[in-house]
Amino acid sequence: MKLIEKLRAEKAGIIEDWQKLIFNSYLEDGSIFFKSQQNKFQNPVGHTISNRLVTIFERLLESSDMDLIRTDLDDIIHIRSVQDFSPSEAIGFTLGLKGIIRSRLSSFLKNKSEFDELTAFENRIDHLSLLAFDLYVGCREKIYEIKANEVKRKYFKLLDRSGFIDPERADGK
Amino acid sequence: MKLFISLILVLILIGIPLIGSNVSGLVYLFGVIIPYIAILTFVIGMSVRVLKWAKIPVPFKITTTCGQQKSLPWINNNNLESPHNTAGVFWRMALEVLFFRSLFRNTRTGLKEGPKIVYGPDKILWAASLAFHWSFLVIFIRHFKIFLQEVPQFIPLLESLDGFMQIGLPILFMTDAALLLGLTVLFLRRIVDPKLRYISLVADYFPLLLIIGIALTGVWMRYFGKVDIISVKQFTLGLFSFQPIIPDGISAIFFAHLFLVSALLIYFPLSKLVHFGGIFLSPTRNMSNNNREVRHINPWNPKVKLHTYEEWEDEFRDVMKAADMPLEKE
Amino acid sequence: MSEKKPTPESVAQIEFTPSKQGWEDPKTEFKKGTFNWAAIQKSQEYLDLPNPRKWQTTDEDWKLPDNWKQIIFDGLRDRLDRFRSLKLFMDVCVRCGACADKCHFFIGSGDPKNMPVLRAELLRSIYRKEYTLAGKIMGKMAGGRELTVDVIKEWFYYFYQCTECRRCSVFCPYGIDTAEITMIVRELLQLLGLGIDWITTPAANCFRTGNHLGIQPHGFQDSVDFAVDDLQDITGIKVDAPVNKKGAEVLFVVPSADYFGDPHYFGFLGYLALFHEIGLDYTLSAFASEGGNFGLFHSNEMMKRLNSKIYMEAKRLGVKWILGAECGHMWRVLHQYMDTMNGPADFLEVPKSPITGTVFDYAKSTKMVHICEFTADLIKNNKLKLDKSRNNQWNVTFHDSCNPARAMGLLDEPRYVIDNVVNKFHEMPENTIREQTFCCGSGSGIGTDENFEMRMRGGLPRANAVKHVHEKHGVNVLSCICAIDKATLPPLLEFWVPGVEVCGIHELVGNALVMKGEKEDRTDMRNEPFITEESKKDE
Repeated sequence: MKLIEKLRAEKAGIIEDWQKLIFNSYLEDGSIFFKSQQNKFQNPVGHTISNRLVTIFERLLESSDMDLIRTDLDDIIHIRSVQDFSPSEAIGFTLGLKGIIRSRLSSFLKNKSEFDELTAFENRIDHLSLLAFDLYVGCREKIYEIKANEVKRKYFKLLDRSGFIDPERADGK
Repeated sequence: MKLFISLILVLILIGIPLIGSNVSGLVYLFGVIIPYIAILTFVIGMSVRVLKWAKIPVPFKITTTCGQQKSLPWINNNNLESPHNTAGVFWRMALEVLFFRSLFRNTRTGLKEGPKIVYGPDKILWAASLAFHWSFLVIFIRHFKIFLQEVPQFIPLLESLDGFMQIGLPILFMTDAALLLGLTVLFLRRIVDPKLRYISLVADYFPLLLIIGIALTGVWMRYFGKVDIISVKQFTLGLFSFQPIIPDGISAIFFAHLFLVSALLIYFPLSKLVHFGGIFLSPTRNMSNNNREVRHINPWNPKVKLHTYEEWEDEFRDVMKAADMPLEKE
Repeated sequence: MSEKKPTPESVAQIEFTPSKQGWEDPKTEFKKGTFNWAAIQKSQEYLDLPNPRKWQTTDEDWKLPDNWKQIIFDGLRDRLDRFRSLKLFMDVCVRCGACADKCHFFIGSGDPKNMPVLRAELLRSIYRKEYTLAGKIMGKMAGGRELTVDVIKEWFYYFYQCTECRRCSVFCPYGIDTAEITMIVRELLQLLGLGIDWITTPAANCFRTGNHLGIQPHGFQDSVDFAVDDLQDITGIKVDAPVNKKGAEVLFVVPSADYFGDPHYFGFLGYLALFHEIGLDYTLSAFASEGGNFGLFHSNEMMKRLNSKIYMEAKRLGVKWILGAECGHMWRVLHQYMDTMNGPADFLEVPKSPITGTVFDYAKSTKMVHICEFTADLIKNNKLKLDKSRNNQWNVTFHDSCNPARAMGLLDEPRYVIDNVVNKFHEMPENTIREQTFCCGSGSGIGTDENFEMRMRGGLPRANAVKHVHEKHGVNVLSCICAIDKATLPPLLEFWVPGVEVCGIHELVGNALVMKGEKEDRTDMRNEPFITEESKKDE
């Protein structure tokens, strides 16, 4: 796999572009803060995103097994699922990786064999996007579940007395 | 942009006296009239400011407690961070005013690998502010050497302490270095840290640059330009004894220094620099946390529409009766 | 609402152009999940609030009165003359940035207007333009801004995005308290009839029925009766929980969530068990059936109106002093405002524990004692028989609620109580507890369903600290002494740190309390069997 080697060689640049892409999705002014990483202003959001992207990219190079990526991707998706994004915006950064790779490796991509390799790698990115979609939907479902639980909790005793909460599950969950 | 405007403003302020004081006739303006106006503006302006604040009531006792309250006798009260009496408040304020206690507490939100958020100490702002403010005060006191005929004894002592490193000739005052260092750090923070760049206004860059201008002209006079100190003293003594004279041999750079100081004095009461007086009045810091022990009076405690028990019982009497609850009226 | 539909190209856009505009542009996008619904007309009218009308936050036209600008200017002028805090905080800020990254909303969202300094600057810029010499002459150059409808909307968005937690105030060299500024801007917004429903409706309920939930007296009586029954199921003991009883020694005031909410309710059972065990002569009140005070999030006048019931009722019932349950903002009002607003309470006596004889002379004017102080005193004097092992199912950490920590200094009493009722306790990292505690992200009346995403962002710093002790020490319960915490931390943790529950301290006390005559197989306050040595062996 010549392509994988090439991607390894270009790793730093690609990750940098990828981080930029995701930070640019924030409010213009907010992204200034998320992006400034080197001890200027650090934050849970910016840090999680930067760090996890590195791990995710490295894992993508190694294998097509999405299970290895799941937790790292989930950390990012958890954050993005409660920020001001439409679903496509929230997970669009995964597909954005394709464009970054193509532009970074434009000089390398000359003949068919290289494109074949690229297509194979892009398959992994597609899988990454599908996983992101699953995780995102999972987060949103969780949010609605939590919201429903919150209402139940608020009127826990009232529901309990009215028989809406099964005595077997008296903790209201 | 905001930085640029401030820089231009300060450069203009330096330029005016450099050119103006060379024009004969204007010397009196720069040497006498403007300084008098400045001092007057400062004194009156600050007094008005402080009196205005002091006149406004403090309706509620809203101490920010930063430590354990005084409650049960066997629980240690932190009388500095959560003072329950005047002595506590005094020391809390002293720590705040003299040593910038709250800034010392400053932490930086950071992350370590893991990833765990950590909140590490960030003492840079505290150190720079402290260096700047204290040096400014010491330098101000050192200036009494040229304000007063009879130099009080402590000033030479202060000077020898300040210059105890014995570097250079004339001997370098540590406070001069500390002042400039402090100012530089405070200034660079505003440019380098994106958060600060974002929140900074003209009103933030301008005073910093103005004071840097004052410091630089002062340093130039002492270490490089070598002004005629005798003439300067003659001049300032005249100024302070209300018999202004302008001796020969005072260089333009001195007028620049004087003019910038005047500008600062005038700007002072109009700007955020009033924190110098405001810090003493801050209601979250200068009141004791003994709210439940001593009643605080609100002079304008408003009359509001209340809902009395009687009205309440009237509305709910029937259901209360049905539930066998005690009633005032059957 | 994010209407912008991105194309793959726009998503992959790498060029970055920072905003040249700076923060002065007031245009605010109201995005779903980050703002609160408007106050309903009925509640506004019930409280005689200005400009009652049907409107919604998402409407383009907020139906402001014609002279809205004048109302704001007059209102601001009036408050500048009445609150030294406001005038001073407007004047002295040097924008040093010490507060900037102290706000949980900023840390979680990165929205620069969530930096406390900028939040205040939203008002300060208007103040400068209208009330300072420099601002009048130089306008924008002196950092002034014109008051427009967009500014009003921006205020609404960002000042209902501050939880009044006062964390920034701890770090400010001049003690500038954003909570104070938020409270005053909210008062200004209220002058135009711009309130949120989650504050106005509970306030209207409370004014009418005595509690935020709008529970009527018989419903309250019912709730207490049920709690007594539940406690009997758990312990086998039928306790007495009097309501509106004249001549009792102590009036006990709880936040209304205590008799309905989960996990509040378990703490309520804990109180009842404790009072029975020590034989306290007390009464609850259906009229003062709310210790919490959503008036605090509305205006000082509303705070006073709602708070007045406590002293009125204490006087009517002829009690000697008042005991207050676990609740955060309730205690800010009781500690810092009640006596000033509705005192002097000269009809009451200096609180004295009838069990230990301790005189709470630090509360001699307000005459109200915090339940943690009361219980700590009981424990110190060996008046309780406690079995720590009955809390062995819990590995506990303690969340200092903002108000008791930063507006009261109640830090060691709850820790002392916890220390005496549980075996496993671990503190969260140093800079996230005590006076530096992080807010739950939902305080000051913004713990709403519609604001959910914002709450999750704002609670991230708190959740992160919990995650730390959860992973490091196996902590599985976050104890706290605030009704809003108990309502909003469970969803927060469910999202960020699944596996950690929330409880009140007096639930833990109730668990550990060995009661005379309790049944053999008594359970904990959640009606779960205790984990004993035997049951462990069985597993």
